[in-house]
Amino acid sequence: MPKSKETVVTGAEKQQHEQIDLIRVGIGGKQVFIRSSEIKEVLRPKPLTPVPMGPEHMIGLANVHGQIVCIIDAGSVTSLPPCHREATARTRFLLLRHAVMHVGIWVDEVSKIQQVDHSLLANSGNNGDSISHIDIEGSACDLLHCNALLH
Amino acid sequence: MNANSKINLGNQVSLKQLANRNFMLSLFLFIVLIGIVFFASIRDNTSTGELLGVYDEQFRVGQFKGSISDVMVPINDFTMLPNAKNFGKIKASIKVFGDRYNNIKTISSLTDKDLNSIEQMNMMMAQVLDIAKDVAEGKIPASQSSQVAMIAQNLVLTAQSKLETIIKNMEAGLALKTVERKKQATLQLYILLGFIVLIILLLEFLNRRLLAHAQVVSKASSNIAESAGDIVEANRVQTNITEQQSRFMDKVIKGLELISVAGAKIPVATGKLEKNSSVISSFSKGGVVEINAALTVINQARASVDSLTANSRDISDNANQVLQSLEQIQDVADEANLLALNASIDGGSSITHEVQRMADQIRGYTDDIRTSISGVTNASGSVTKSARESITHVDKSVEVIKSTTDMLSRIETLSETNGQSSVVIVKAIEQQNERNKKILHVLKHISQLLHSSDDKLQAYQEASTRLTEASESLQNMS
Repeated sequence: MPKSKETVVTGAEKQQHEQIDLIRVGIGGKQVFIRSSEIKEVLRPKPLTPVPMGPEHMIGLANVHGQIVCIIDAGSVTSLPPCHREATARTRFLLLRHAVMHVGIWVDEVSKIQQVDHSLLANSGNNGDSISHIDIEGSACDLLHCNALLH
Repeated sequence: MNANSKINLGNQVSLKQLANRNFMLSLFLFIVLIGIVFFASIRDNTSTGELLGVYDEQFRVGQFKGSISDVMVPINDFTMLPNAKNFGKIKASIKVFGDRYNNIKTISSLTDKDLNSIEQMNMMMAQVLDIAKDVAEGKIPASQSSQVAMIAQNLVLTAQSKLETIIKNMEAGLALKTVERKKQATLQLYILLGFIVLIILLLEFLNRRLLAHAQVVSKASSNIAESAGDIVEANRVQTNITEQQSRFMDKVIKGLELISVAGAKIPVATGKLEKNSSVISSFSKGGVVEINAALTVINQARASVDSLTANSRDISDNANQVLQSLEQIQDVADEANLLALNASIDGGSSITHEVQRMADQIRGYTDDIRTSISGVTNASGSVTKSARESITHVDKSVEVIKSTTDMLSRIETLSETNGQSSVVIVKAIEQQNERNKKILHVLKHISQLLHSSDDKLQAYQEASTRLTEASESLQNMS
């Protein structure tokens, strides 16, 4: 019986019931979700080299595995509050997954990984904005679209 | 005291002497004034007499002048009838003329010139008489008697003219004398008025001096009255002070008597004090021994507290080491969580959630352990703090005990010294009692003198009051 049921499930339905990992992080005291597929690696804070005359959202440059990575403040380019730019034991750098650019964002903490249905993301109504809203466990949460930051 | 009481005492003259001198001087000036008036009156009378004499002489000359015309009547009669009878009339008139001439010649005011004129007139009259005699004797014809009479008349007129001149001269001299007399009278009047003014001014000056002297006397009287008032006031104050001194002296005497009685009791009390000092000395010695024993116990307690402090410090150090280990455990858990997170991102591992749950449990355990250790550390800190405070209190107590020991030692020494001093004090108090008795005797004598002085001051005050009344009377009289 279950086998026959699996056979009748279409691809769209399969994608709709697929579970997606979201990483819950804290930026400027606010909890935000990010797709784990947009993250390449989570790192402890590393020494940063400031960029003179650089934009305000650019915190500095870090050496990650021999690669120069630009660390930015997501709160400065979105509606999120700016991050605390003082490193603590809970501060992490999230390296974004991108084919060309090597960019990381500064988060004040990484809480956990949470799996949600794909349908929730489909209902979030992302229209190219960097922030959208999703309903997780009955509460409205912000979803940060990192790819939108790199456009 | 009044500051105006200083009066010039030089050349002092009494008021009576000054008044007598002024009276004598006024009397002298009045007599001089009467003399001057009398002298002026005499001079005035003399001058008036002189003027009257001159006027009389002038009258006599005028009368002589009028009498000359009497000669003309017999001459005219002789001219018309030249006989011996008429000649006798001429002769008689000539004789009358001669008598009057002799009378006139004695006038003293006539000048030599006037006398010469009168003499010439007399000679002319003598010639008239000779001519008339010649006519009467027929030496001159009767037909020529009219010419002779004309000549005689001319001679008479000439004589009248000369007399007129003399009278005018005399009138001029009289007028001159009258003017001189007026000048002299005016001068005498001015001199008299000046002298009167001088007398008045001198009398005013004398009166002013007398008045000034009287004012000085009045001022001196006023000063005396004020000074007497001050003396009375000072006397009153001095009397009060003396009475207060007497009362104070009586109180002092009573106090000294009480001191003398108390001084007799002091040796007994000093003997008791000596005994008490010996008792205190023995108590102090016992207190020092007891306190030294307590000090030994306290030092042992302090050593125990020090040991407790050291143990608390060891506990705190060990707790800190545990905390460091917990930090390392936490770091390892975080690293494992991070690795699991990255593994989940890369491939989606099923153990990620388990690792994350374990990391959260480890964090919870470490937080509990950290809380417990923090409690232990705080408790150890409190113990250490309490131990330090206890040590501080113990140290202070030790200091107090040492000070107490020193004080007891000093009390012991002082008690021994007091015992020795008490003997000396007893001897000194006995001597002091003897001296107090002598002082008491002297003070009683002083008290008697003060009472006597009080009586004399009251008498002095009465005398001052009388002096004040006398000064006021003198001031009123001035």
